[in-house]
Amino acid sequence: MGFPKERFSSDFLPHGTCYLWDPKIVWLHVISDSVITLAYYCIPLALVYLVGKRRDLPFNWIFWMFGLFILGCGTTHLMEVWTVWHGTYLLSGVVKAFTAAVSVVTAAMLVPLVPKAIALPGPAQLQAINQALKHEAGERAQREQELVRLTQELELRIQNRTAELESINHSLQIEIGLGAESQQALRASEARLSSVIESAMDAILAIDPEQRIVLFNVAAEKMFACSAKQALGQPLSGFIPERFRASHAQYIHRFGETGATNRTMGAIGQLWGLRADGTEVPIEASISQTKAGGRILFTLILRDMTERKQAEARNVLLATIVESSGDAIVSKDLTGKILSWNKGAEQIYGYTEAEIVGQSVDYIVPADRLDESNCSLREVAEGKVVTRDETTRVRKDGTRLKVSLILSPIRNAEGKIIGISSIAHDITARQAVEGQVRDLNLQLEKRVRERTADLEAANKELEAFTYSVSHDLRAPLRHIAGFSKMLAEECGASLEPEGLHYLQRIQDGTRRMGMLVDDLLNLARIGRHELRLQVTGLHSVVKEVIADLTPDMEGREVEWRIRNLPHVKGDPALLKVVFQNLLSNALKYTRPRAKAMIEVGCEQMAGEQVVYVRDNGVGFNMSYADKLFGVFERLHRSEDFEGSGVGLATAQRIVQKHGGHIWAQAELDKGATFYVSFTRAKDAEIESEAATAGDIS
Amino acid sequence: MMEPMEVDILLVEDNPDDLELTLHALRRERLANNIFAVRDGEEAVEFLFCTGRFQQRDFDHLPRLVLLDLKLPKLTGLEVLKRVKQDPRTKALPVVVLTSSKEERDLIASYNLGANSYIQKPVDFDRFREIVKSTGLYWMVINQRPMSNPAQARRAASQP
Repeated sequence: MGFPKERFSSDFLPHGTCYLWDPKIVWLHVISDSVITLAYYCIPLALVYLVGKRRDLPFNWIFWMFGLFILGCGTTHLMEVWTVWHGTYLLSGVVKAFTAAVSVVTAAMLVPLVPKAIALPGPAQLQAINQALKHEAGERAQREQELVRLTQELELRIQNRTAELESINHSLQIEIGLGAESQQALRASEARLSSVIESAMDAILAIDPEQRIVLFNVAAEKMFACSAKQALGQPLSGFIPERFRASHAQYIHRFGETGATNRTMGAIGQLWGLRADGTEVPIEASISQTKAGGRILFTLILRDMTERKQAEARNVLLATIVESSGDAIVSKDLTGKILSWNKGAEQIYGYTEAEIVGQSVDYIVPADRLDESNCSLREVAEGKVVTRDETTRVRKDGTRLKVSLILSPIRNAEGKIIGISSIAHDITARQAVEGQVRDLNLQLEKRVRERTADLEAANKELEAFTYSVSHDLRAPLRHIAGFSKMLAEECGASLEPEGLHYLQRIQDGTRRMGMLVDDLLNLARIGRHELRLQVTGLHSVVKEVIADLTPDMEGREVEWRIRNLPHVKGDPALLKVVFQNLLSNALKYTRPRAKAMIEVGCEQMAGEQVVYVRDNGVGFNMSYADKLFGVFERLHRSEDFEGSGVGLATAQRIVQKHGGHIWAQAELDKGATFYVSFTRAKDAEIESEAATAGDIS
Repeated sequence: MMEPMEVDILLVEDNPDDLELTLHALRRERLANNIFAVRDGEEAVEFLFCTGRFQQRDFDHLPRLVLLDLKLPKLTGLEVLKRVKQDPRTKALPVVVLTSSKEERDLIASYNLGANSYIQKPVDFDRFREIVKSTGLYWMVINQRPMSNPAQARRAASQP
């Protein structure tokens, strides 16, 4: 919606048109309206100034209303001047409406104000009131003077009376025969009493019936951390925690009314004192009342309970520990009579506390252990601590149990032995477990022995077998090979070509079988071979193997890339066998390549030192990788690549014997990489081995 | 078989096939004229110490080389070797173990008893011939030995 701005613009004819722009009429209106405006604007200024200066003016808000009303009137006249030239009648109308609203409100508020304004005293009335007040002040001063005089008179009378009382007192003292000496004795007695009070361990306070402190001894100063000087004259409530103040004051009041002379410590129950520093102290109090010089005095004797509270807490803790223990904790007197019996003892022996306390300890000692038990009691009575790692006790139901026992003397404050404490731990379960462990160990040992015997027997058989193979199986092979060769050489001429061919097959067969037998024997030999570990430089091993392979490289282009190789801890002869197998394989399976590339290097894998042999040969399908290291397992046809299928099995056997492992990564026709992990020799070992053996690397 | 008086090589071999193959190889290379073969350990000992069947033999005519198999009836090759190497009269006699196995314990035992060489017979016949040839060549031709039998020499030295 909004109040379009255009409405304020001068779409209408200016008012001057009505004056037909006659300069005389125009200026008459303009000047008159301007003067009225000025005059109207002056009035609110004066009113604001007045209200600002006379803040005591009654009903000063009405002046604000007048001011606003007159300001509105002035503005309507200002609009009259404006509309002579500009036809903004809506704006001038709004100003008039505002002024009308303010004037109505002002009038409405003024009407009820009139009676109140009439009631305001006029200046004459005020003067009369002033006169009356002056008169009254004079009278009051007179009365005060009289009061001072009366007080002075009273003081004088009190002084006289006190002097009179003192003289009466004096004469009374004389009358009852207290001479100067007796006075001195009295003072001495007072001093003694005072020193008794001051030296008391308990806090001693005295309060008057208004519960103001009139006596506060040294122990009280210590208890409340407040000097007597500060405390005297103070209300007792200042030394009581707020939450107890009301009940405490009532209590003393009632106590006063009962007329009882005292209440003993503890009769009041547990109390708390408030120290000057705001902390609280547990106290036990006794209270007594006396009349001294006609006045009732309450004497409070307070005892600091902090230490006892702590001791109680300790005792509760100790008792809880004893009660919660699974061990039997029992105390008895020197004759063996049971004094205390914890829950653990109830569980272990089956007697309840009520049943056994007061009975002899012999209840739980079997007949054949009575001598031992009595002997223990005597020793503990002499002050010794007796431990028994294993002894027998008897339960309520008559069953026996094994316990370990510690007996120690209980001493009183003077150090005199007054009883015996015994802690018994049920070791039946432990012994059963120990027995089981023993039995299991025996079984295990027996099984180990049996297994060892089995293995030894198997080993012996294997050894006998390989020995026999070595000697007896090879011999006929050699004979077949030898005689078929001789046959070919000496009778070859008389044989048909077919016969010669068969002979050749016989010779090939025997050679292959000879190779198989020899490889198998090697494998078996490695299994039995005892490792002779020493720091071995793999670089020299590899160099040596490559030198041995030279005949196989004849007529081939082979590039050997030998990287930095580590020193490892191993059997040099066996390590050589590993590399013989790996390198001869690499050489063999790169045969189809125009240029063979064989790399031997070392890298760290998962914290292990891994030596690899990589070739660019025919590789193999990884799905057969698990067959790679099996005996007689071959991934190639023997027409393509000769071999017994024992070489990698042998290599694996050796690596495993060294605590390492061997694996391969390959892709058909893209070469293969064989990895062997080794335990790296420590630098110190390399140095010391190098010092003794020198030539290893 | 030759007259057992002048013997160049004593071949101790129980297996007739091995005997034939070894003799074939030795003769082919013409490394020795007089080769005598015995068929068990006992016979070998009798021959070398001129006892039993060979008591008429002259102790002075010891063979120049003994080729000894290990698996033999009656006395094993190792027992023969032990007797030869323990007796001062035969101690210097070169004994080459020529056998089917290369079991570690056989090797160690042989060398500990004083064998001069240990050779495993290969399955491949060509290689076998090669080995026999080089062994014969070495011990019969290359290797230097005293002019007289060491035992004879010792006896001669002890005579006034």
